[in-house]
Amino acid sequence: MSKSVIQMEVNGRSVSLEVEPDEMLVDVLRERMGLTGTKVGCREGECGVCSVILNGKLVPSCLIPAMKADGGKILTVEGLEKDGELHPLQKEFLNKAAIQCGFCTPGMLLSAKALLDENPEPTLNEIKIGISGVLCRCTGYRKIIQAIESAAKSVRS
Amino acid sequence: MGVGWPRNDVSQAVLKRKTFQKGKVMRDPVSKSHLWKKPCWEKYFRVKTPGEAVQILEELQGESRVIAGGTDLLARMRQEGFGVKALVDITCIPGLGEIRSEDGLIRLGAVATPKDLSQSSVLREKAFCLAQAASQIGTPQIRNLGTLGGNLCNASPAADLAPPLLIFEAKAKIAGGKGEREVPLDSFFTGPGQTVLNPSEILKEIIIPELRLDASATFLKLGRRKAADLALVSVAVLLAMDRKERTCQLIRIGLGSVAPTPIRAKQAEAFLIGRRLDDRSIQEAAQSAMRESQPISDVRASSQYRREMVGVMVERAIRKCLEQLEGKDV
Ligand SMILES: Cc1cc2nc3c(=O)[nH]c(=O)nc-3n(C[C@H](O)[C@H](O)[C@H](O)COP(=O)(O)OP(=O)(O)OC[C@H]3O[C@@H](n4cnc5c(N)ncnc54)[C@H](O)[C@@H]3O)c2cc1C
Ligand code: FES
Ligand code: FES
Repeated sequence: MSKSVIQMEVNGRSVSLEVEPDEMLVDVLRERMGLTGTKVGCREGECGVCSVILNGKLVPSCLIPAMKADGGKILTVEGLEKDGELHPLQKEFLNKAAIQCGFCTPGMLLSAKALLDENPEPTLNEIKIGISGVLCRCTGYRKIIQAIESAAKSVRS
Repeated sequence: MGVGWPRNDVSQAVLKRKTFQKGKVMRDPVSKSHLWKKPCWEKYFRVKTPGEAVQILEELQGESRVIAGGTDLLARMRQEGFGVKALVDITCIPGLGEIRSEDGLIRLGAVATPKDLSQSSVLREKAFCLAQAASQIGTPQIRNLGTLGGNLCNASPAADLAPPLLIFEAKAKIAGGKGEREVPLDSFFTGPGQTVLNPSEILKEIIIPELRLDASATFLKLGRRKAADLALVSVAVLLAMDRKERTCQLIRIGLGSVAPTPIRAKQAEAFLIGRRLDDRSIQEAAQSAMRESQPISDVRASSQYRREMVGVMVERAIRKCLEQLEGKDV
């Protein structure tokens, strides 16, 4: 098997690294770059905890060969905070206690980020659809939805 | 999670039965889940032209696969535990994801994503039910990553984009070593997981006509829940009627998840054509569609339930089309 060098911009930092042809993006992020905020659940696209934003789009990184991400711009949960300050979404998740075990939180935060980037004033239903690709094993979603609603307000103001 | 909840179960149940008949070991994805393997391949090509893709596929006869979004392929490789020599990624081919309308035809590039389809102004205006179907696929993540071509080439009986394309009598444009050919979508699917494509061909484009101004079309999907669920039954209906007589001028009914491939309910169509559209004729057409479907039982629903729902959904879809027609000024 021949390795190839890929280039990506991860959380604003440009990186180039050698990958196996069949290495998955989620493993490159977690195992090679230490970005363990991105979680692994099913590895089949069902649970959404591996979600990252690749070239502006929310995608499951467990189904993306690293080679496909070559040249791409990636945002993981680690890239949400700016200059030591949490993103409004992260703040609201804490305020509203929208976190229990936290396993789904990175996927939820990035789903919400992708949603608000595209639609700064989502309706309740649009928020539900926005996070429908991430399974929360704990909270029952209500507080997550409330957190996104108030973060949307604070992002706008 | 994926364990108790097999995704492609409609096709897999059928496929499994087939492997069993062939005398091979039957794989039980539930009890053997600890044996699931990481999908592996030795080379990954990101090609820039369809020709390049075809060339690689020809060189590595049978030992390479096309990958578009990978949402079906990689999950299946994992569940079935098979590896290949090479994957040929076609999503970087310029223009292969375009959606254009010209001379009354809509051309849909094979790597257009469900998200592209659901947001396309061309489709929203001229073939809304396809945008509707695309917006109900999987999850936001899957809609961003999956593709039209993958949905069709995977040939799951439950492929959500198939019924709406069948009622538009779509054509599939296929590129191969000997040039290009066009196949009506109606004869594209040959069985669960099987199509007319040979291993070195790729699907380039789907071509549909614009919806006639005097017709209406709709898509309905019945799942167990709203997100990330394959259809138990899906129905697409296209209808045009003589407004004075209320007789049916044109009817096409596409069904998903109720036969080895997505199908047209042609007997129901033939029954309704020329007839007055009233409660009785609509119900009889729905019953005819039930008789034409051959659903299987699996973990998600029994065949009886699915068949019953074909009747309900066909009737509902025809009524919805009627409502739309009545609201239209033509
Ligand atoms: C969580 C989840 C939910 C899902 N929900 C739905 C749903 O609700 N409805 C639904 O219909 N599907 C659903 N799917 C299935 C899948 O996402 C869709 O069918 C998707 O459109 C497949 O596209 P892809 O590009 O990812 O296919 P891929 O996995 O890339 O390809 C699938 C197959 O087609 C072949 N192929 C792909 N493109 C071409 C081409 N242009 N020419 C020749 N061969 C090609 C590949 O070799 C492979 O065999 C779901 C999947 C997941 C993981
Ligand atoms: S780990 Fe990627 S969707 Fe579950
Ligand atoms: S907080 Fe535990 S999975 Fe969502």
